Amino acid sequence: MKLSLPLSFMLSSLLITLSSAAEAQCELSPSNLQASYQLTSSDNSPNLSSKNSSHTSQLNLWRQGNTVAHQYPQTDITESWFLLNNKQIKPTRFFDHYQRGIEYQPGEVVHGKSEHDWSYRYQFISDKLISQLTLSAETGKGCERQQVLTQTSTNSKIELVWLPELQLISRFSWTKNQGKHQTHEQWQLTELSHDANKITAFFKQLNHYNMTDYADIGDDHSDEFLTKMVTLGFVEHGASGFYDTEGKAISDGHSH
Amino acid sequence: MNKTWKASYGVLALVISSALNAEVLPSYQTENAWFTDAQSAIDTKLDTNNQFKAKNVIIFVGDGMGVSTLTASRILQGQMAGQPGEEGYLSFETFPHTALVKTYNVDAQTPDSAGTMTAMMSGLKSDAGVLGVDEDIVRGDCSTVTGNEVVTALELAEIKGLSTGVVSTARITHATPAATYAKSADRNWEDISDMPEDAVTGGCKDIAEQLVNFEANLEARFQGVDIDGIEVVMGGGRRHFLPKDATFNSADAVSEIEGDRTDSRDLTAEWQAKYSEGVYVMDQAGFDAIDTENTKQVMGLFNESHMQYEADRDNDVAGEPSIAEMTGKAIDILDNNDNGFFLMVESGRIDHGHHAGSAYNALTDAIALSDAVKEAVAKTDPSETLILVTADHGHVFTIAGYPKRGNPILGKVVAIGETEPTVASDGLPYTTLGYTNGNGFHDLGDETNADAGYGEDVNAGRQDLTNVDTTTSGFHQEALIPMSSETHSGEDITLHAQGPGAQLVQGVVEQSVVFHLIEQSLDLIQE
Ligand SMILES: [Zn+2]
Repeated sequence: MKLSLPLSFMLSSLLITLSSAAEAQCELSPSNLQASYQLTSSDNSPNLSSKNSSHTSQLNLWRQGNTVAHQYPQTDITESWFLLNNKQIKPTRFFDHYQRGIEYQPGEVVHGKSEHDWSYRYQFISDKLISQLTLSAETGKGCERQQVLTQTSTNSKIELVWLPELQLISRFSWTKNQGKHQTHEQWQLTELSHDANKITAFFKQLNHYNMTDYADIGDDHSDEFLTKMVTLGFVEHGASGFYDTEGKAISDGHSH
Repeated sequence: MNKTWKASYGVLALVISSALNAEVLPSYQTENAWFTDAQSAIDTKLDTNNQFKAKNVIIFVGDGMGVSTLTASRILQGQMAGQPGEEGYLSFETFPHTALVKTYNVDAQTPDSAGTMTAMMSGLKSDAGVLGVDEDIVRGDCSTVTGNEVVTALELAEIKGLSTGVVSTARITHATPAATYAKSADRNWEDISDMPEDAVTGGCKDIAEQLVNFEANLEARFQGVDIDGIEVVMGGGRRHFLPKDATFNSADAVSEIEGDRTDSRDLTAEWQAKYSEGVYVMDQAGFDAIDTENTKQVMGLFNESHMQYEADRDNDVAGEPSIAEMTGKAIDILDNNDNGFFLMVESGRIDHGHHAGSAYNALTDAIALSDAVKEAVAKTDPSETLILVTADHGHVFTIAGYPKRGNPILGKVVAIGETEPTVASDGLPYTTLGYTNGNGFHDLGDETNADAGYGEDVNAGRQDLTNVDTTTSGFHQEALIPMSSETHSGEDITLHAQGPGAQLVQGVVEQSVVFHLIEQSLDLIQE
């Protein structure tokens, strides 16, 4: 399947390949896919001294079984999470340019929270947030079934176009007003692939990186990557997903 | 001999008393508990043992357990028991003999665990980062290993017919445990996938492989020597023993593919094939089921990587024994040998707690080590077992300011007579514990900061801690110099000893003296 096709086209072509008996169901697995998103954030300020700004970036979501990865091409960083049978989550951070990675232990609370919400990493949006939105429309069948979920408050509006069968965001937009200051953030699914070979190849490549335990960084002062790692830059603010309706972690690090 | 010493002391005391009568001291002084306790401590020392030869030696190494860590841990231990804290002791701090140990490596002022443990196990200082080889090695260069390998106390004990054991809460292939059994130009060569191509083709073996083939390797090096292998191996690091293939995953694997080995070898299976009477265990249930009276060999690999911090042990998927439990079990197996035993026990994660800037994890692991030493003391006879407790190096960890007596050791400084935290000249409160360098302040008590990613930027320097509870497990102390990880320190560490030969532990010594203390007590080298 070609990757650069628009999503709507891809989904209809997917449907054609399904048997008519299965038309009402989706036979594609949510746990084996690659999805690309274009992220656009804009900041409209009435203040003359700070100009309106708009920023776009790319983000790829990869899922294979109990592993999910977020790949940030702009920073050459990939983060992945593995869901254990006991529901603990093991995070790993890959520095693609260096073909190096740092492993964290499940539940390890080092330099941040310990991971608990799998849905947040798996979907970019937690089940908790989805459950707080109102269903305003539902169309399509099978894999193409999509829901429009919204939430409007005095100074913020969230609209989610959700693909429940694939547990995937099709589009997410969030507008926030603070007086005359408006910020807008949009996520748009641009590509979707279920190509098992491509997905396997992606994770296999990560598996070949030279890995270091977070706990071992301090003992390896002979390794330049490890001593400088901390300044390599991490995931961009605003590109790591949404958390809850209070707007806390929903877009960035500004709230804390 | 004891009596002679006491008699001469008595003569001395008489001489002094003729010059200054004891009654000169006011009774409120001589009856003061500090005074009488200190006097009885001297009386105890007069009963010093004069046996030099031991049947067994146990050495405990607290990785990164410097003097400030001992002090802070003992205070925390006391405070957790409802005491002010300062007056207590870690179990081994009541041992009768202590020395200060110089830790530098041949090529480093501030050392690492590989060079320091090589000194302790082989009796000579070597370079940082290398294991079981002398200073002529070139780190990372396989071709320089041959001819520079040195012999360890554990190997000599095996040759002498003693039972031997290696226990660690870190990966069993990590620097400290590895220095007891491996020879490697680089501490990082824990399995074959960690080695550069030229090291593999040059014939160097990874550390895990050397552990499993310890018996054959040692017999090959010494003609006519027939040993029976290391009896007890317990720790973490399963990943280095398993092939990189998910079908070999253990029940408590935390990665999609647990094993790292790229040579398809399953070293746990190879070990079991070699030691048919041995038991391989990987979880608490397997550990509990070990029949210590009838089990000849045990290999316990309880985690894919390092074992859990003591504070996190309950989180483990399949359960892990504590360091005290491992110590007790190891002794129960090793003491079946009438010739005696040599056991090395490392608390490997005190170091990791400090590197992460978490005093809480470092101190709670140091207290767990103290409990393990207590277990060893309880299970052995002090007249036949030399117990050494030491560190490999310190950390840039300080106990600072003027907190009042009994002030929570993990808390902010509150001065004598005060109830509110003292402020520094920047108007902000500060903690008693701190680090000279590292990642700096993080307050992870508050998990609603969902996006505060691990690997967050360095946060060194002063912070406003006014509204922060610094005593929680998630609090990371402030650090001055920004670094991705807090570092080791270069000052001396301590060596504590009891049992036959312990009386030689005194003064300020080079770290390589530790090997010679073990050797002296066990007579490992026949003249
Ligand atoms: Zn260290």
